[in-house]
Amino acid sequence: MYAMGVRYRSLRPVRFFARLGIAILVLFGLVGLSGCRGKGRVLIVAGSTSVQPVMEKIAEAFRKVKPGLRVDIEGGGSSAGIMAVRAKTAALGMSSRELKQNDPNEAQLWRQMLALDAIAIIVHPENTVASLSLAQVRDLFAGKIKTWKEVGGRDRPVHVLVREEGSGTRSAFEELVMKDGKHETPVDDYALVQDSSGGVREVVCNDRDAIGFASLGALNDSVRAVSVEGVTPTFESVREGKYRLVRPFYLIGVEPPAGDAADLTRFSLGSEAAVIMQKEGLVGVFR
Amino acid sequence: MSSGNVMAADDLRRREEWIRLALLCMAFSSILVLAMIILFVFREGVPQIVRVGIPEFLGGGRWAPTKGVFGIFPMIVGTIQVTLGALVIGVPLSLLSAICLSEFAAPRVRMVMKPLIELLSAIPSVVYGFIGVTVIVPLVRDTLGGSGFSVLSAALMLSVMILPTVTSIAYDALRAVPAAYREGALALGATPWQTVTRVVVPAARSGLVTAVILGMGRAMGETMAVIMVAGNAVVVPTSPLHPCRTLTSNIALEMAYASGGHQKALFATGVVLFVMIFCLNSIATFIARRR
Amino acid sequence: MDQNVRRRNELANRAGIGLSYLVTGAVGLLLAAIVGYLVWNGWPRLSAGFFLQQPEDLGRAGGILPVLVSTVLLGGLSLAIAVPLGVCTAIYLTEYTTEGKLTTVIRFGAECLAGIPSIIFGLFGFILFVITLGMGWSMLAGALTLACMVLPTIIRTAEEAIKSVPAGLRDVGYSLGATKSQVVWHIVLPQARPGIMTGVILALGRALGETACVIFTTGISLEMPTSLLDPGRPMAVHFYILAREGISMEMAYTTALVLVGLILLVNVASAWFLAKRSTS
Repeated sequence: MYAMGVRYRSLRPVRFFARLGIAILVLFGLVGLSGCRGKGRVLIVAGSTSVQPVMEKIAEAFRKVKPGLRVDIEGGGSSAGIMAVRAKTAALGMSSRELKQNDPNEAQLWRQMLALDAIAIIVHPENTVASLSLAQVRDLFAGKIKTWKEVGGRDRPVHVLVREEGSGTRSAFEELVMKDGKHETPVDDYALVQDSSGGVREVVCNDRDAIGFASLGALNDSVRAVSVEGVTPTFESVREGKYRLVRPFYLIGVEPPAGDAADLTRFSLGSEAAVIMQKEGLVGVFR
Repeated sequence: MSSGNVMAADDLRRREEWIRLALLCMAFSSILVLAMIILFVFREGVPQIVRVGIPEFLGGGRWAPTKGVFGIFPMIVGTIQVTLGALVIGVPLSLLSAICLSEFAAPRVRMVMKPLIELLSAIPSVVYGFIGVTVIVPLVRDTLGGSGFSVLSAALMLSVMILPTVTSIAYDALRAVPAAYREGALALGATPWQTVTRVVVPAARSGLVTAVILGMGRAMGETMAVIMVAGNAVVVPTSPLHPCRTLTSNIALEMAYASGGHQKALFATGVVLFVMIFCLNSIATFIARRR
Repeated sequence: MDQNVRRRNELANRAGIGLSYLVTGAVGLLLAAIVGYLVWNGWPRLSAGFFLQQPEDLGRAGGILPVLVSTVLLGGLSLAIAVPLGVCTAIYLTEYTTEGKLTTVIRFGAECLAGIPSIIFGLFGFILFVITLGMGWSMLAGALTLACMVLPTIIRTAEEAIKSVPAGLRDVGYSLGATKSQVVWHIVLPQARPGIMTGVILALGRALGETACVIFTTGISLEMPTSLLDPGRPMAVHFYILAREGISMEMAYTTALVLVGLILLVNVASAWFLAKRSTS
């Protein structure tokens, strides 16, 4: 079978590779062509995962006002957002932390405060403790208070939950709660770490002895926010400045935005966006 | 034989050379890609290790990157414990299942189990993570105490995750052993069990070791699911019920927000991980080759 | 042989076989329970509309059409890149080179890379494809990154499959006058195909199950990708976001069910394809 048909059958591998090579060339051709589609504007906003949920809702409403414009909200974290904005991969960035003034990469950026986000201290709904002082919150998260009995609850161990180092929510929490003047108490080493506010909430709602902190917008009926220094975090108490554990959300860019990016920025500071933000538990900056 | 129907020897040789060249190019480009990734990780990470100092980095017990403290010892211990736990639980189960399916089971059992195992390798790791959080963590919390987020929970979940991988590759390895080996042993009077343990398994050793290595690789590299159940506290776990943080979780948790020295330290963690896997693979291959 | 020894061997035989059956049964039950959990949680929301509609309200209602398309595009493209590359590398390493320092180093590199956490591939892909090469968050960047990630696995399993083809079969080919490439194409590859397929299916499962890596390179946009340079959201990422943010656990599990079903479909199709080939 090989003597007679060698020429034709054995060309199969060659033909296969030739076809493969052509296919790869065609693929790259398609890629190249699709790259210069031009039609259909795209607006990319990237950055903090804390700001992302509310930005997505705002973008959903914005799309109805501006059909034909494609708005993509990406995550990656505040730092990735800054990198993308500087590389022109994203038109706007989102940040849940202050820009570093001593970092030349960040100090030059344009920023616009979008909203104030409250950080709520949450416990299981069946936890009898409903009110804590700031010092008690600090000691709980530092691991100094080990049972709920010490703050007026049941005789059960305290399971502490925090966010990861480098998270905007965590650094805000450490600034607002763990710092007492100049001295900062470190968070307990044995504190459990979750990688999102939603994750913290999910754990707290399943564990009767857990305590954690999360963005006010991430809360729902499955967990309860304790009042800190007598103030419960709500939209009103944040707006009136009574609830003190708040941090800003920013939109950032290389320079002040123009075109579609400017339209989105203006929309985010408008009344429709303010309503969306209120539903998420955020206090919009301009009313 | 007319010369028109058979390719001349020269043409044949030339064509062979082209094929060999094409394959070489493919192999080279894929190796280039792999090397690029390794170089990338090392280029970012090694200077940071040197800057912090190897004993402080590897032996330091405190990880506070925002304050410039980089000690990953607790994470190294966490990774080892979680991976070992997953292997200790998962590998015997996988190997016995693979042996049963390959050697003893009726074809009907095989028809049911094989698709089932393949089905489970199709489930994304985040789903396992969620099942871990909703099933394993409360189970550990209610029966053994603590918060449920622990080395044990992570090891249990990982052992289930590596089951499909290890079992299917081990199964293929056992199947590849020629029937003549089995027939010869049985003809010599060995029981089926003796045939399996003393002839088939040693013959399939290379493939079985691959299966375990790939399973170990999967267990060590698993990030999202482990983050959900291990607790991620930066402590050296002295009991299976303590929370722990693995090297991979460390990278995944903080990479999104890290910049500058913090980010480089995370790459350095990647370097350590790579070296660890390298050593473990070497040991495993050495053991396989010795006997 | 001594009666006692024979009896002991028989006992050990029974015990061993029994134990392996027991373990296999337990494992089978466990795996079935996991699948059952998935089906139980995901079945209610499954409908034709789920496959064909656009998502509404961030995914709480509606369907997952763009997510489905993103998944197929991403998985298909990454395999299309990784499988030819990986299998050719494996062929070259086993058939065309001799066992030496170089091949050992390469094999080792591949094995170690299989253990690197996907987040590092994600960051590598983000910096190289998304930012430096200017692809932005796109299907292409994601597929290239995923291809890099599964390449070691494919090379390794393909190599094992090719190596396990008995030398005798190759010798038959050579003795009939076939060249090396003919032996590889007509004899070795068909024999190794089942093993290679296992590796490819495993790679596909891993690629489609990736979240962190994909989020960094393909983004999380819920819009329908119309070209390779558009961002998109594959099903695993959709599940992760729905479940993590607590948007909708039911939709999350339904998405997971569809994903598992998709991979299962690919498994069945490849098995059918293999069966057909082996009889031709």
